[in-house]
Amino acid sequence: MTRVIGILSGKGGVGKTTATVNIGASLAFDYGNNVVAIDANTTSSSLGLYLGNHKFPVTINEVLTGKASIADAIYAHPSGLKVIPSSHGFNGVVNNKRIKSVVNSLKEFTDFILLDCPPTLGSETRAGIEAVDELIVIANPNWASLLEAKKTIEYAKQLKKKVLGLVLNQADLEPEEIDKIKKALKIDILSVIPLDDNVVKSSDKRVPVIHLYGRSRPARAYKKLMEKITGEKFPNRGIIERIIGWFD
Amino acid sequence: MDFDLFLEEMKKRVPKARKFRKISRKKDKERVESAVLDDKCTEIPQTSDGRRAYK
Repeated sequence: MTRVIGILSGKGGVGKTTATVNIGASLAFDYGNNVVAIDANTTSSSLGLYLGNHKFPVTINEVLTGKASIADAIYAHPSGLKVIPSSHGFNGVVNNKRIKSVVNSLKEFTDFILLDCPPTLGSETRAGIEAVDELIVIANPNWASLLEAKKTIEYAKQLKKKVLGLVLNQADLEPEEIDKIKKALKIDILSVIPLDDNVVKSSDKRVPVIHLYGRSRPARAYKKLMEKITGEKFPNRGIIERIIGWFD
Repeated sequence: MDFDLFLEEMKKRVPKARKFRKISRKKDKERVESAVLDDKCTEIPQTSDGRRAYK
């Protein structure tokens, strides 16, 4: 059965797209799944850019406005991840409610569909939440970001969506601080991704950090996240990585 | 012009949406299937780091 997972945050700029590309590329490359990542942020897109390109002849915007078929908006990343990007040009406001139809059309051929949702709880985001079954919420360890994340979680729960948990991004926290956040938001912490230059470098190079710098701290944190999402051990871990893991 | 008016104006400029093309037709369905499962779709160009990571 296809799992449809939304990546949300509430506040913008916390690392949703970075998380989406790492999760999507890993589900496809490391776990061998058929995965489609959709940029549900049709007004301020970045998913395609993070994966290596900014010019796509056909995007989700054309699909949602009925100008193109879904088949023409699917692109292949070398990890095996399939991507439906959104447009970088401003062609008007798109009706995102149809995104659920796009998701439903793809279910037959996929193991995972990831929706990189926009920030805030505006109409674009609400359409995204309605299209997914499960959610991962990303937040930075500051109260502005955590409060917005809390609102997103509450809204998703109202819609009876399964919230898998919170990913604390750009976070170097002590265990008691993590526990404090967990209690305040009443949610599982799936992973804590440390603030690390390798994430910035991998974004600049348009390659997910989990594959470009596989032994870096953020990559190891993403691998733990992958284990939580899939419920399976991260595959192909080398001996050096396992030894490093013992000291984590 | 305030932002709400700006958005309203932009909405008016969007051409009337055509009927959403659900992939109910067999031909469309086959194209989506081959794009997702058989890589029959455009590849995203990669940097040399990208090619190294997935060689």
